[in-house]
Amino acid sequence: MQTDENHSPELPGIPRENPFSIPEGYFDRFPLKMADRVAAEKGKFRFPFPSLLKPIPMLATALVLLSVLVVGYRYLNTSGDPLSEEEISTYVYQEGILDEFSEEELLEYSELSFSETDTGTAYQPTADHQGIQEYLIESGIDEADIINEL
Amino acid sequence: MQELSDREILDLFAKADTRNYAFNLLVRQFQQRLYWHIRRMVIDHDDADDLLQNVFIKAFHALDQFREDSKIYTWLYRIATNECITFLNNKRKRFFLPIADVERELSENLQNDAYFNGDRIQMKLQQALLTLPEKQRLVFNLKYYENMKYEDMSEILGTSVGALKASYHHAVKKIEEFMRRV
Repeated sequence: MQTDENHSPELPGIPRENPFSIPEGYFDRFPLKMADRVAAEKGKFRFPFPSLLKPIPMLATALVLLSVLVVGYRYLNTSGDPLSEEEISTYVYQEGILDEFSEEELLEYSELSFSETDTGTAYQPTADHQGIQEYLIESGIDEADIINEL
Repeated sequence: MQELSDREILDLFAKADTRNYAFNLLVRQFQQRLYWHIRRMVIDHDDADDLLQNVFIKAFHALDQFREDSKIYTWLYRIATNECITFLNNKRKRFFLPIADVERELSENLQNDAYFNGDRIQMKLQQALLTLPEKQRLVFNLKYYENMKYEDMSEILGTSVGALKASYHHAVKKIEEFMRRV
């Protein structure tokens, strides 16, 4: 260690000496004590990022994690919301999606949709539906009875 | 004991089979200087012993990542200084004491300390030192008792050389004033 005596003049009337003492043999025993401590430390788990355990970094980390959780939760919830019929219609007409399909394709799709029960609009048969009338006639059921039932 | 260079210590510490040997050499090489530095700050031998052990344990865990842009001894002094400041701050927080009361407590402990051999004038000097702000006391101890270069002190305390000289000058004036008055 380098020293520089020029800037530490003696205090007047006070000899520069060390007034403290230590237990006898302290500095002989200390390296052994340290060797024991190090051996004990080796068996302990040490958190790999000790600076994160200080209060401010710990708080900052907690805030970041909390923000990620909140944003993630909100994203998952909003992205799962179904669109309303109005929103779908607006999107389909604004984007010109209908122009990409022929009239036959659209008719075929609308028939398929009506046959599915989970698409929203329930199938509503009418009394003058051609297929029903034919079926009823073939089955010999009186048309007047059916109209009364409806 | 022959002192090893920083490079020699680090090379030995880097190898698994000589790591403990290197650490033992490091402890033997720096224990006395670090002990006295800590002891002058915390006064009590047992506290100084605890803190010195903490310093070397921290050094053991961090020596692998030691960058050679500073010397090992200034790095160890920095760890030791931080340990002392943390210890004194915790003492204040634990007992809800203002700064002056911790120093007063240390001053009272000094009078009953079995490991204090100073005469009346040395006791008065230590009491004068305990009236100084912590940073001034650190600067005074490092300069007056250890004759440390201001450049090294600047590295340890993170303060400019000019500010350290001013701090030492103020400390000496305050001590002289205390010695005249009390």
